[in-house]
Amino acid sequence: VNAGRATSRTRLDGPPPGFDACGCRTGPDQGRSSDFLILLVMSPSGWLLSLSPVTSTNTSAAWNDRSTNALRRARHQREDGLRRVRSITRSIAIASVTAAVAAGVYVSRALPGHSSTPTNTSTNVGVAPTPSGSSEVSPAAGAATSPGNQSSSSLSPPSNAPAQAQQPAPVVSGAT
Amino acid sequence: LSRHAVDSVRPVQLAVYNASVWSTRVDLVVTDPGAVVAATDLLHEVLEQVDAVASRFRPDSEISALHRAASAGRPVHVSADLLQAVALALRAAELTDGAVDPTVGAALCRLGYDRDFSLVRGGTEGVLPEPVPVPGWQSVTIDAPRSTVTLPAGTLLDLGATAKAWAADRAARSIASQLGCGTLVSLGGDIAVDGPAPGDGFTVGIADICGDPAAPVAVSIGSGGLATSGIGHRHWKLSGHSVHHLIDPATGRPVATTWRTVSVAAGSCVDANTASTAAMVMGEAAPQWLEQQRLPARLVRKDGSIVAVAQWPAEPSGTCSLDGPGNGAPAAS
Repeated sequence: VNAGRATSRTRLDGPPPGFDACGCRTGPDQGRSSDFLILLVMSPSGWLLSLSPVTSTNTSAAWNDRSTNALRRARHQREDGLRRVRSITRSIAIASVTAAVAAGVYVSRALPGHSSTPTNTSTNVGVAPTPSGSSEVSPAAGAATSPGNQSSSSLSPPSNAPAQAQQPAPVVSGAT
Repeated sequence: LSRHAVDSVRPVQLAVYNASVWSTRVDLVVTDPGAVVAATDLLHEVLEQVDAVASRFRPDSEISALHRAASAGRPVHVSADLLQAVALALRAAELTDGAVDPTVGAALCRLGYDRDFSLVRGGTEGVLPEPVPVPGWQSVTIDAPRSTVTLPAGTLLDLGATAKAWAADRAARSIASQLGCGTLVSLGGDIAVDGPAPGDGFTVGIADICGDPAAPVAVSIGSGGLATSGIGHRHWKLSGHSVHHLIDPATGRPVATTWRTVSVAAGSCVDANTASTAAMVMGEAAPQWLEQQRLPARLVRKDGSIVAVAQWPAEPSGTCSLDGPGNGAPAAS
């Protein structure tokens, strides 16, 4: 059995029958197209051609395609615009954060007493991952302890330099 | 331990306590005389903790166990205290470009300093070893999350440059935080100050030898630490050669230093002692290095002349007395 399909469709320059200029349907039977199903049946007496009409409910496809395309184009344009705005917003946000971090680092290094990386807590040691997967201490990166508040990258100067004293000293610092 | 005195100095309301620990002098000063007994208990508690962790002269200490277990070069699990002590020593080495290196333990043992100094002072047998570089602090690995330390085979750690000062910092912090008084702890001249200090700060004499009552100069400090390193006290004879405990990592032998003593003030006792020890090893480069570190320091040459850097207070006379006790310091080998 060979089957074929022929479609008869009305080409319209204006609104199709049954539709007004806005593309709205004006009647229940309007706008239908006719389809024909061609059947070739091989029988003992030869080929039998059968042409059976098939009613289709395909409604105003051309008009719908046109309006759908217009809507799709508009949607794409709107999404493109939103995408551009989103990209610009993201760039501004990243630039702002980067500038703030850079300014913070610069200011923290410029201020006296803040010339090093942050100190660690009392029992922590700085840890840097190693290629082998283990974590090893970088001594200057974190051997800091709570007593004395040692900084990680330099020896910490005193908050005040020693002053000359005239009083008797109960304690003497010397070599041991 | 021997407690020599508990004494109150009335006008400034300071209570002073001193004792002898680790073959050296211990001083404690608190601003609340009523707290001195509790403060001494806290002090000795910290000293015992640090000794049990970091003394290489005690076979039952944790660092001795580390040396035994690490002979195969495998990671050894250690306590948080020892991990911190080793990390501090490595930090000191890194920040001084290796001048203060904790891997000098074997070099000190070769010089005979393998037991408490009270047993070494009288002299030791042996020969002056050939110059051999120490293994180097970079060969020591710490794995903080696993709390392990890895040493190359044959490496012995000596935490003397940092552990005593670390103990002073810990004790001062413990006393000040628990008793709420101003506290000064001095372990062999390594001084830590914490808590509310007296109005003018704590007065500290500076001398060649720790505890010398004839200290030629006095300064006051209100916080942080102050330490003095020198070769006038911890020296001994090795088969006729005069040697001391400050080791040059490049040779494994006592450093030929320019200075008789170096006193440094810093934000902590650990940092002060790290810097003073490094300055002794660095020699002529020390003043500039201390200036760069912004660490006030007083360096005394062997001839008694003084170099003051980074806002160390000026002294009326430009030189120390050559008749002082430090004059007997040995010439560095």
